[in-house]
Amino acid sequence: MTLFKYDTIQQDPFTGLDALLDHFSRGFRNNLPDSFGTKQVQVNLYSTEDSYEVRAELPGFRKEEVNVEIENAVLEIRANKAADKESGQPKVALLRKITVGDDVDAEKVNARLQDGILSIHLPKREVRKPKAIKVD
Amino acid sequence: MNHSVTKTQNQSTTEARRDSWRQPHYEVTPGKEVYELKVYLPGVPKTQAEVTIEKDKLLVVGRRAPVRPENSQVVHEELSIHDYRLQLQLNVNINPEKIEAQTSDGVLTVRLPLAEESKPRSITVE
Repeated sequence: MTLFKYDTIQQDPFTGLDALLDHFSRGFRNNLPDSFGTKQVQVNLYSTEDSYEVRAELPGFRKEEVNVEIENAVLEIRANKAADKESGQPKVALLRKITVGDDVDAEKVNARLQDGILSIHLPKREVRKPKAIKVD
Repeated sequence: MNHSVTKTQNQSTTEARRDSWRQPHYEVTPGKEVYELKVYLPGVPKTQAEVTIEKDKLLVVGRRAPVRPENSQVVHEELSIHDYRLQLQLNVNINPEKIEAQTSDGVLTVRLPLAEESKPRSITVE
């Protein structure tokens, strides 16, 4: 017996359509060979005076399952969940690559996961101040 | 007169905001005595998730905490800003006294124990 009378995930004809529209709106970025078989992580990107801030939705992931890397101004977010035979949970793999400015100080990047939201703090390098050169 | 016009406008904007819900993704795991409902609510702090049951209607509401840092400019936004609302109609009798709910990592897990009369019963053939 089903728990609910109208289980919308199973019966809603628009669920499939939504997924298709989602795919369109993301511009088929999933077609990259590297992200084959993975879903894309939704992100927000903000800029403050001294840093960039990334917010990504990763509900149900523990921090051990999330991997954040930065290389050559490309920020990579990977989340992997192994299949769980007991609960029937299939394997989940998520990937997102974001090109960030080269003014990011890669050494000082830090990330935090809370309530299913991944927050990445990317401090900007100290701005090269304009230097006045005296003419002798 | 002017004053009253502003007031009505304000009211309609509040209502409009309240109407902008988004149905979260959910999963149901059936069991013999307990059904488990998982609702994905990323961005909802523990105190902002609510589960209510009234007769055969189960309602889950989750309010998002703002993710935008102070004094920041938006470069790119994909996440929905809407709060979550999920209403489901129960098909089986649930013991409302024994419902348990907990959140972890943005996932709300609700354990719904079946009422005595809905539990499967084995009948001895005589």
